[in-house]
Amino acid sequence: MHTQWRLLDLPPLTAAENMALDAVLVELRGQGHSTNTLRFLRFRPATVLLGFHQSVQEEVRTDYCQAHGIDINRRITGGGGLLFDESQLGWELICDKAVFGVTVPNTALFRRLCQPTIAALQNMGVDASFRPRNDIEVAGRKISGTGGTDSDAAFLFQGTLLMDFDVETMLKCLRIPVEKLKDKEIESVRKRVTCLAWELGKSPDCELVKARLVEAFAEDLGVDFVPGGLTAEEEDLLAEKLPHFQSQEWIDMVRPSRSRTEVVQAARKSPYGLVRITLQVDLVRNTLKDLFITGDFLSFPGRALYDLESVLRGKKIVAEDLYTLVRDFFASGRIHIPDMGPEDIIQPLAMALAKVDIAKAGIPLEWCNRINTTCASFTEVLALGIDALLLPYCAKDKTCALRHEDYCTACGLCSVGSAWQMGEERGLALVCITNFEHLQEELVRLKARGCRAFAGCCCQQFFVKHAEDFAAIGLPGILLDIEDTTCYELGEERAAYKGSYDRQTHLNMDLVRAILAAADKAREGRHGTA
Amino acid sequence: MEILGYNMPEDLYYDEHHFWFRKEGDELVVGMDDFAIKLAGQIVFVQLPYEGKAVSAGKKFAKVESGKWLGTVYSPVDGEISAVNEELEENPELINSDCYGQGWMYRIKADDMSQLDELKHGGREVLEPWLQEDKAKFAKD
Ligand code: SF4
Ligand code: SF4
Repeated sequence: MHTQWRLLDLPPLTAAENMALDAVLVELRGQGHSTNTLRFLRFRPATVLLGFHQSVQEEVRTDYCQAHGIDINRRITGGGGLLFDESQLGWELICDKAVFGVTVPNTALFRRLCQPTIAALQNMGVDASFRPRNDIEVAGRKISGTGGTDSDAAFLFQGTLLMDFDVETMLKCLRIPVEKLKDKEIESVRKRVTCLAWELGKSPDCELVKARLVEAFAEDLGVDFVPGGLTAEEEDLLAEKLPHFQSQEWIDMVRPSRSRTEVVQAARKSPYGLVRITLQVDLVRNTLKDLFITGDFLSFPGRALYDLESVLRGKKIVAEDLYTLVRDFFASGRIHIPDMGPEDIIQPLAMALAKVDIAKAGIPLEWCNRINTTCASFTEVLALGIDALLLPYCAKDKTCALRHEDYCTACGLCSVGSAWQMGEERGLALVCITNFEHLQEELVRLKARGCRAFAGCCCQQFFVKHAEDFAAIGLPGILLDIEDTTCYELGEERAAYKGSYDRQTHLNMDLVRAILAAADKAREGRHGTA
Repeated sequence: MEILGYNMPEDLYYDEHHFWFRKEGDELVVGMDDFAIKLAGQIVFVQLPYEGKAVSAGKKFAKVESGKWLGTVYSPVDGEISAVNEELEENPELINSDCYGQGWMYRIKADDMSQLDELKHGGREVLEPWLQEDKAKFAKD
């Protein structure tokens, strides 16, 4: 005869009730009370559930959640934030550690705990498989995640199964950096996950899914499940613990003293396509919280890009280590992109990492995406020393007699004059650039004369288009984006290239000031230690 | 001391969850052992209780997260937390890189050191059979 386990399938509960009950069940089981249990969880109302150590402030768009009656709570297990709407199903095993014969779970156990869900999915005709270290996927798209914790002699393992997936609401509830992504790219974010409804082509019948899971767990564990309710002891402890899980103290338990998460982005255009890298970075821990590799290129197999993302996710930001991971991933044959190789990913990645450096240099991150570097990282350029400042003619006053000359007399009529003056005060080599060939000549000349590095202003589009030309010349530099309509948006880049663009842009003087200040600081540092 | 491929210093006391304890005067330094780290992979979070928090023998007092597993730290003695390694707040992976040094986690001021006698402690003859057994239990895949 099989051992009997309790099957606990309560009606949908609030997040606080569900979380308090988790704590109660594992705690009592850990003390040898109650019985081993398989529990199903559902939530009403919908809830954003954070991992144990995440902060609401960093992960959740609270205004949206409040306005839409979405609860916020925290799990007693690890992992990331997720939206548990009323259609989702969660399962939990609360059992004696002796069932698995270990005191701490290992890789094999994580894998084994995914098996029943995989079997249940396969039984429903969904080709699910294990994704290390504790997820389940269908053709590279995640459909289920698992996690857990322990208390004395008991484990609590839990898993979610995406029944249906409301991408829009999820993106609105969680601070996933999608506002930076274009529509087409949001579509590709959607492709990183899947759910039963999409796989089956219809809404899944929840009772049927539960029945399949029960069968699969029974088979895997070699036990019989007997439906049951809570014991009196569990009810009592639940009543005692509930206020804590409803309290603001619990929900706001983690409050980072300083903002730690930032989003940076970089894009690189090659003849074969645009590769855009979006990084969500934990600046304090110096780790990659999340990343998206998107663009208009094709990669094979369909899951390859998501696999590459998961290889990099969570890693420490050590540029060379990350590049090695990308190269190894390509070398292992797990990805194929026509006409592209690892360097096509590494280059925009390096550009995005350069922005992380910028953030670390104390430049406000909202400006980060407006700064590009060439031939060296931001920190390296500052360390080398900025000797020259290049300014574009398009930012000069339209009526200025010097609009197409390579200098300015700082008469005070336009932003070029203000920047020119700041450059003079610092003894920088100053040049106003009048067209693209002129820019090339000036860079070559500066380099030949021993200029260590330069700062320059130009529109972002210009830099993206000419990144390779800058790299070819080989003079390290920092490029700052400019304000107002640029000729690319007006389709006048041919005119601009030749120097005959006839509108006026403006330098972003806050940005120029911040960079020159950072350069001053780096210079003092160099002299201080020299 | 290297045992079965794990670095297990001989002067430490170990609990069944593979946390180590080092006696320093009337204090205990606490950390995760090499075996636990190889099992856990990258440590992403360490809960740091406030100094002065009372702990009791056999009772949990903090959490450690790796992957999506939230593990528990138990105190071997009665006493109170006398210090926590603040560095771990920003750099939990110090535990991975130097688990017996910079990756120390807590200091506990112990009321009664004799409670440590319950733990694994000693030379190869004590630690090897224990590790052998755990290695068999935890053997990967
Ligand atoms: S500041 Fe320089 S560029 Fe601007 S109008 Fe005066 S002279 Fe011309
Ligand atoms: S491309 Fe046009 S807008 Fe951009 S820097 Fe050159 S002239 Fe100015």
